[in-house]
Amino acid sequence: MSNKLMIHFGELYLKKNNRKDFISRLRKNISHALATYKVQIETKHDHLYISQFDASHLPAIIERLQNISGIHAISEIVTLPRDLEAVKALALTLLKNTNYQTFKVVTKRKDKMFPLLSDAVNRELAGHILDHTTLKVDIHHPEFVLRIEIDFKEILVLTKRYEGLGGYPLGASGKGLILLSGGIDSPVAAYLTLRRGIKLSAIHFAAPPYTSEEVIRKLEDLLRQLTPYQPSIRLYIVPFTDLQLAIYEHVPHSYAITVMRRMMMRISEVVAKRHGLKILVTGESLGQVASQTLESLVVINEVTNYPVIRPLATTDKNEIIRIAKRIGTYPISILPYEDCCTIFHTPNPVTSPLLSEVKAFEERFDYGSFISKAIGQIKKIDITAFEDDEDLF
Amino acid sequence: MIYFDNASTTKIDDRLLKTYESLLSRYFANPSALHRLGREVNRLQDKSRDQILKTLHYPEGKVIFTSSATEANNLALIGLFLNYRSRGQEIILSPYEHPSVYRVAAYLKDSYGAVLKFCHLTPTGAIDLTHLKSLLTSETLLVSIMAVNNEIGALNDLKAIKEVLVSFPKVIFHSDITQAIGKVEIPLQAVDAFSFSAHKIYGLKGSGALVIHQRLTLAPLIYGGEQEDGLRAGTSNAPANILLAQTVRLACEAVDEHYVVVHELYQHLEMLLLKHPTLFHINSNGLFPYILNFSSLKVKASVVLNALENEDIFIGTTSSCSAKLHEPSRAIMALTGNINDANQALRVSFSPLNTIAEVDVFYERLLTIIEGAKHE
Repeated sequence: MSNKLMIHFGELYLKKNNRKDFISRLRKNISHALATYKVQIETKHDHLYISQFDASHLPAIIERLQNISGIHAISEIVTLPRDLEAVKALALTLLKNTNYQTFKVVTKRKDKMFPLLSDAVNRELAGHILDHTTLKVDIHHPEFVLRIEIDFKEILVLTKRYEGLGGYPLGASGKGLILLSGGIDSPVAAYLTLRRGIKLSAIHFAAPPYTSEEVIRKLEDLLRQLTPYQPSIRLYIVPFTDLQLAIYEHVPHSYAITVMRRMMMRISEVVAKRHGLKILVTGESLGQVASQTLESLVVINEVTNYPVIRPLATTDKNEIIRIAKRIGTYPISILPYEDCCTIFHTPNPVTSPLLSEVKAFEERFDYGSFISKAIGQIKKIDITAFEDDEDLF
Repeated sequence: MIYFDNASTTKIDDRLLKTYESLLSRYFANPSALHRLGREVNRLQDKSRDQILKTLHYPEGKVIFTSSATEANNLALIGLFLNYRSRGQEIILSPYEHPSVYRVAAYLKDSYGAVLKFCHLTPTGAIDLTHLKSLLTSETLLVSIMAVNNEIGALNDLKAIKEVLVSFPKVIFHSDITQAIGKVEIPLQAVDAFSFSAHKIYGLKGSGALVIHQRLTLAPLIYGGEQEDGLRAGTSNAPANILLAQTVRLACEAVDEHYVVVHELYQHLEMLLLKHPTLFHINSNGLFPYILNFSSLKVKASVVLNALENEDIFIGTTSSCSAKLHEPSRAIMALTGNINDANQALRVSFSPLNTIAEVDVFYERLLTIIEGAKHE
C-alpha cells in the first residue's frame, strides 16, 4: 500500500561537498530509467520522492530502481495529514490479516516543532496498537516495524522497504574501460564497477576470420544485460589477428599468452587515454589460470602505469558465477563461441614468466607498428537496451 | 444485445487489441530467423513465456505455445502418454472432462491400449477424493482433472487432489484450467502440467498454451521444425504468443475485482430462477459464479435457446465443442444421472461486463418465452 516511493541514499557520501552533484546525477538516472512511466520526481534535501504512478506499474518501477546504482533502499510510503489518529488507523490496516507477534514504532521528526517528541509519538502509536491487537512490543527484534516521519506538512508512513543496488550514482565517479573477453568473469567485473558509479566502455580483441561474427553478437548480448545499470555502452572491437599471428611466429608458444596480454594492455591504455577513460578494468582473478599467477600479473602489468582495477582479484569462482547468474550474463557467457584466446591455444603456458625473457622476445619483432595498425582499424558499436517493450506486456 | 455465453468465448479486450495491432505491424519477422528482426521477435516470445510463468506463479514451468486449449490438451495427453508409457498404461479422468481430454483419452485407449478410469463426483460436483485414491495403482501414469468444469462450473481443489497423489510420485497430474484461469485463484504448484486458451479471457482466438514442469518432456504431435523446443513444429504465431503474456496478466490481475461483480450476477439470477421451481432446476451450485447451469423443465432447451436468440440474448447449452452433437450434458449425467435435466440444460456464463439489469431483462424474456410456449 503506497502512493509514493522514497529513495534512500547511502549515508556515506551525504556529508561531502559533492552531495548536490550526486543527487542531481541520481535524479537524472532515475528519470531516464522510469521515462516510460511518466512519474513525478521530487528532490527534498534528504530523499528523492517518486509519485504519480499507476499502482499496477509499481513492481516494474521497483525492479528498475533496484538496478540503479547510488540507491541504497526504496520505501513505499503513504502520506497522511499531520494527525496521529490517521496514522493509528493506517497502522491497524497494515496489521490486519498478518501474523506478526511483535512490533516497534520508530518515529523521526524532521519538524522539530511538532508538539510531541519522537518518543511520545512512539508511545502513543504503540499504545494504540497494543490496545487493538494482540501484538507485543519488542524493541530489539521486532517482526514488524512501523516507521513514520513527521514532516512540515505531512506525516509519512513507510509501509514496505526494498534494498537497492548501493554504490554511487552512475557517472559520478568518472569513466573506465573494461577488457571484455566473452567469458564469465569480465561481465561480472563490469557490473561491480558500474555499481560503484563508474561509467564504462568496453574493449574486445577479435581474431577474424578465426573467430566468428557470433562472438560479437555474444558480446552485444552480454553488454545488453548491463544496460539496466548503464543505458548505453560503447564497445571497441580491435582486430587482433595480425598481431597474434606475429606473436606466434616470433615468441615461444609457452610465452604467447603472456605477450598477448601485454599487447592487449598496451592497446587498451592507448584507447582509454584517447577517449578520456581514467582506469582499465579487467576480470582477472588471482590464480585462476596461468596468466593470472602473481608472477604473470607482475609481468603483464609492467607495460602500463595506468591504474588497472581488478574487482574480482580475490573473489572465489563460485561467487563470480553466482553474481553472473544473478545479473543474467552467465547463460550467455557459457555459449560456446571461440574467442581469440581459445583459438590460438597453447598447451603449456608458462606460469612464472621472466620479465627479462619476455622483453627479449618482444624485441624480435616490430610490435609497435602492429599495435598502431590495429588501433587504426578499431570498430565501435554502441549497445543500448532493447527498445522499450513494456507496453507489449 | 445481451451476451451470456462467456464460457464459450469472450469479446477481445480493447487494450489487447491495441497491443496486437502494434505487434502485427512492428514484429512481423519470423522468430526462428537468424537476423536481427527475427532475434528480436524471438526474444519477445521468450519474454512472454517468462512473464506467463511469473504471473501464474509457476517458475519451474516450460511454456509451449499452441493454437488452443484443445491442442494443448491433445499435446499433454498424447505427448505425455507416449513419452512415459513405460511407467504404466492407466489414465484417470473426471467424468466431465472437455472432449479435448476425454476423446483424446479414448483415442489412446483404442490405438495404444491405454486403460481409462473415471473418478466419481461428490454432491457438489467436485472429484470424490476417496474414490480417486481407490483408483490409483502402480500402473497409473496420468491423472487429468479440470480445475473448473465448463458445463456446470464444478470446482476442483487441485491441492487436495495432489495430496491424494503424493504417495504415487511417478503419476503425472495434468489439469485443464481453461475455465478457471483469470476467474479464481488456482494452486498451480499442485500440478505437473496445465492447458489454457486466450479467447476465454478476452484474448485472441487461435492462441493457447500448454505449460509443463521443466523436469517433464513429451513426444510432439507435429513434426518438421525446431519451434517450441522441437515440441511443436511450424512457424510460430509470434504476435499471438507474445500477446498471451498480457492477456494472462490482465485476467489474473483482476481476479478478485471481477469475482465480486460476477458473484452478484449469479446470486441475482439464482434468486429469480428459484422463484419457479416447477419451471427451472438449477444444476450448478454457485461455488463458481461464472457459470449458472439450469434445466428448463417445461420447454425444450433448444426452443428456449432459439427464442432467446430472437430477442438478441445469447446463452449456451453444453460445451460448444459438443453443442452440435446434441448430446445430453455429460457433467449433469455424472452428477445426478437425470437424463431429462441433462437434455434440457442451459448454460448462462457471465463476464464482469454483464450487469444486473441484463439479468433482469434476460429473466423477464425467459419467463415470457416459457409461458408462451406452454400455451401452444
